[in-house]
Amino acid sequence: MISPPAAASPRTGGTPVFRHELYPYRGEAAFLQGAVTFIHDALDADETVLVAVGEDKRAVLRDAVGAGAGRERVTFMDTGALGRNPGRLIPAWKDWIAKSFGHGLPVRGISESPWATATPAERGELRYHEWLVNRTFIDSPAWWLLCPYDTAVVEETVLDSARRCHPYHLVEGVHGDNPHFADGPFPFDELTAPRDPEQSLVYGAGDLGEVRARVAACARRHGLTGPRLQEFLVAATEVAANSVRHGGGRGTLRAWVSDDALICQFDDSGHIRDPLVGRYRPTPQQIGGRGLWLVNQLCDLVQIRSTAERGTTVRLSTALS
Amino acid sequence: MRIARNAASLSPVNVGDHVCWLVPADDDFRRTAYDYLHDGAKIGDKLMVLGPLSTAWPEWRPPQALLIDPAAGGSAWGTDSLVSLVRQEAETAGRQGYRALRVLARMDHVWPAGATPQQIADQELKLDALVGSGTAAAVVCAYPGRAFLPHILEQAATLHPHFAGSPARAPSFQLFSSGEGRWTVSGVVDADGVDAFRTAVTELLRTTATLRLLCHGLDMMDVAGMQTLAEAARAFPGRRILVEGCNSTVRKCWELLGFNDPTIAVELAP
Repeated sequence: MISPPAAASPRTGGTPVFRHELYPYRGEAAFLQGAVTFIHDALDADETVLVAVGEDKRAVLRDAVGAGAGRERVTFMDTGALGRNPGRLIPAWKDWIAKSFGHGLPVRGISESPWATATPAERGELRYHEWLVNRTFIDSPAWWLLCPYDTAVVEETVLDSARRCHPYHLVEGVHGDNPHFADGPFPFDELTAPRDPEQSLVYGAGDLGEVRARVAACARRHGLTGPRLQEFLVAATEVAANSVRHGGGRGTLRAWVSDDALICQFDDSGHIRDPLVGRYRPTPQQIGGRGLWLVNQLCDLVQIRSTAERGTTVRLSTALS
Repeated sequence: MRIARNAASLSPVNVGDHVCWLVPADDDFRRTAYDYLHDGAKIGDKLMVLGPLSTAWPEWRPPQALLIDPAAGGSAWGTDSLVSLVRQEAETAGRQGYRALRVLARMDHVWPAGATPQQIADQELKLDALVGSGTAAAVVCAYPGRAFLPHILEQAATLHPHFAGSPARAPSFQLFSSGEGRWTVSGVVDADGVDAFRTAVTELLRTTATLRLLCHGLDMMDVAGMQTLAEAARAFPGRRILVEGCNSTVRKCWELLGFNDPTIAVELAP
């Protein structure tokens, strides 16, 4: 039995809020208990439920939910179609809940990231995604997102980070305020040091072709060709063009290969202030602001570190195989 | 079918060619130009040189050769003047029995006071449409590097199917006529060249209800290029751009960016 939330919830009156809730659990049985109860509570309240979990969890959860009344209001999202880049998750959730709100139903979601299979760099960006979720949906219509974390799988540092960026939690069957929540700046991991670059270039206006030539040379040496290379070259072009336009007119490119991925790092003196940059789906009439969106769609991982003091580093990765 | 061609120097020129010759400051203009004209004289072309009278070659005299100094006479030389002159003299050359008209135009004398990118685009697009439409003419537009600002040279180079000059100065894309209302785009359209691309597309949309861009030779177009197409179409209500033959990456990016929207009068056709 899981208790209702003690605080005002999307369902219980007061100011409608986005409820971002951490659910630490250990093992599949605990996952099912928390998730299935959450879904049944939603269905009892005539709410709709979006479930974005890994393929294995999706199967057991589908079986556990069964085919009872309201089952048609539970949608299992295909997160695999989004690829590995956590930078695509927020726009996907915005699309999913907008569609559900469009049907006039309150929304709950369950979101579990692939912590077990993520690389350290991906885990860092998944943690940042969780932090961004609060900023993204603070002004959205009320909805409730439960984020299960298997404590048998995730590292303690990841769990600590999750505790800091979820205002609510579900612990021992009780929904409540999370005392560990801290609404401060996100503590980014330092990027790993670049390997000895196979290609490096100081670029400026008029050098986009040379940027592409350097990236392509490194990529082809390691077997990356065809449309995936072309897409990566578009991404590299966008980031380099941003340096020229917004980053002091010039930047430095480094390209290397690590862990079966081609990595390109762009450093410039600009400062990106918007933490959600690259996560807004562009509208047809929008002027500008499309470059980093496209970069997120074309790369397997995008890491951005930007401060007024140190400038901006954008690191792009794409799998070689 | 016309295809883009870039060379370090002025390679053999054929009827239907429209060459942007970016003349380096230290280049022996006279020697290269002589070879070009001499080749034409040998195969029975009528020669026309636009430039200073001091570049007259005593070997060739009227009626085989015309030497015209646009700066002489004090009359205004508009963007259509060169196009009209080439059309008229090509017709005359045909009536006179020549194989074709072979033109060498010193653009610093066509535009002695300089030109805007729009003026260059207007002239070169019209000239290319003329030369590419079966007119018996070959035209070399000689742009001395010292006489024009870099963005003017870039604008000019992008609007010829053929380029002669330093490979480092070769245009990133080329846009040229492939028939009535059809324009081929080859190479790469990115933020570095997008101003020239915007100017060209805007000039074409002024006079074209449906602008067809044949992009089979387009390697890449970035966000700036795609945004330019969308904005250009929006600036000319009632007109539309049909983009044909673009590769899968261009198509994918176009859709990811949300440009495949019915409010945007740009269509990516197969």
